Amino acid sequence: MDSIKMNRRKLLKLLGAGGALAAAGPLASPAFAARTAGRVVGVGGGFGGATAAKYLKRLQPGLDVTLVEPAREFYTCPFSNLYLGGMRQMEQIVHGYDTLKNRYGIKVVHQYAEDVDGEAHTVRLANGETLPYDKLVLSPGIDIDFEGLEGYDEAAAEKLPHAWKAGDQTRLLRSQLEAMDDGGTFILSAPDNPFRCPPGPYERVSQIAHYFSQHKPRSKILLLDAKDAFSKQGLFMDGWREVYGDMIEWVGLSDDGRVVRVDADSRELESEFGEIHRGDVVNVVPPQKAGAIAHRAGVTNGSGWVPVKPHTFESQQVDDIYVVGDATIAAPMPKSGFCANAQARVTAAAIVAELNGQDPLDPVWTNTCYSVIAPEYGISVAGVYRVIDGEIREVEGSGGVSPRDADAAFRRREAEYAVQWYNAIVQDTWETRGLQKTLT
Amino acid sequence: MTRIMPRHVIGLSAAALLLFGGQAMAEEPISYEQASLLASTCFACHGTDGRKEGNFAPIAGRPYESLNAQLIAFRNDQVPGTTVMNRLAAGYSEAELEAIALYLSGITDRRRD
Repeated sequence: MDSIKMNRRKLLKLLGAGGALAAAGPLASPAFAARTAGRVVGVGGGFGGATAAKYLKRLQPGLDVTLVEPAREFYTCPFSNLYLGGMRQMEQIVHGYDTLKNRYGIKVVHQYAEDVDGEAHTVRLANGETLPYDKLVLSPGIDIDFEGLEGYDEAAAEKLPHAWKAGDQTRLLRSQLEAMDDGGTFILSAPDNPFRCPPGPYERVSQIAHYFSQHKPRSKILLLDAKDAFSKQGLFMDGWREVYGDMIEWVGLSDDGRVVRVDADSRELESEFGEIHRGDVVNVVPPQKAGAIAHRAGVTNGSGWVPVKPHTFESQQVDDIYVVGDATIAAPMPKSGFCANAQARVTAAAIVAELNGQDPLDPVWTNTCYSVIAPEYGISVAGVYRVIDGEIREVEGSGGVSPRDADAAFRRREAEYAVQWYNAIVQDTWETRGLQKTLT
Repeated sequence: MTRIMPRHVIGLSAAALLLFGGQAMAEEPISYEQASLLASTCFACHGTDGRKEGNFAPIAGRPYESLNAQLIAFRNDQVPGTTVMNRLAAGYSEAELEAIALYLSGITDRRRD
């Protein structure tokens, strides 16, 4: 016990030390803080890439960290469904890079990364510039697989939006919903696994039901699904019934829910067994794959996604390239912004350890995905993940979904916590603020 | 980002700071870096270093004893009305929760980021 107490005191002293260390960011390890060697380039300024850049600088301020992201502002997919439901404005889900640049000393380059030469350790940008790296972090998110669904190409997406990357596509879908007459039918086609944000399609129809219930109460929602089961299924279906009655109809794979062909001009979706569904507004959530730069870098496999070494998320195929976020094969961790942020922190620590000749730490990742069914009705799924027997696994006895039998106060609290979570994770990622304290 | 480290802090080798936790992982020392990494799993909801204030309980700089007791109570699912912390705390050993409580209690600067 003496040694515990003594060490406790030492750690407290170290962490507290006159406030100076705390002010500098106590995560910074004194062993590494003053060192400078190392150039790290990050590609992708979303939850994974921005977090990785920030935590690399926190851990080792002397590192030369460059973040490559074409957009000057990043729209988050989390809470973009709430924009569709009318509960948030687009200006409330957009985040810039000023604090990462100014406070953390990260070089932010607003260019598109076109190619990676893993041998030469360079990234080529669209403006012709070449960035050398010692370690590369790719966080490219997803690309839509326009080969994956007959009739659904980039032109079709202008008529039947996917809105699975937040921004113009999200605005397009909202404008179509606003233009739709009361009594119309909205159809969402959900893909098979794996895809970005497993609860996303189901939160989306909830939010659109919220909008309809206020403005177009005679309208219907049809959810055609390529799966027989989905994230938080029982909770979603309870919530839909409680809040929206029979407005939302879900058709799973076994009931011929899988869409195999799309006609963008007639807004028709054809199922596996030939049934034609015509919608007034149609939202196709299509099959997906890792973002383009991952394919260029040679880190994807035949699945279209990126296999990684579990402890560090270094590519299994190309040395010194680390990949985090939706592009990776990290199941049972979901493709969520929360997990991208968690993976980025672990990977930043692993890179710093590696650059300093140390073994990587024991990784632990968490996930909590809130879904907002209505302004006062939130549900969640959580998980804690570790490397067990060489694989990423969920820790037994941890995680799981909100209780089925929770009362209204519990659901209301989870809706409030969703907002708190959003405001916290955007601070942790971009050092920006969410704007609004409540949803209503 | 300017970082000034007092000499006595630099003098301590962080890697040498080992925590010998409770029963669960009695033989496994938890290093300072590992404690930092464990604590960082709180940040997505509680903000960097747990500094975000809002409708979650503030966690940065709270006394070690109360943080540790609260985390253990979450782990044992003994906090009425808990939504998610019981599900999350169950993924950590008692020694790890102690390390997290130590890390967070040491955040002395409570400024909001």
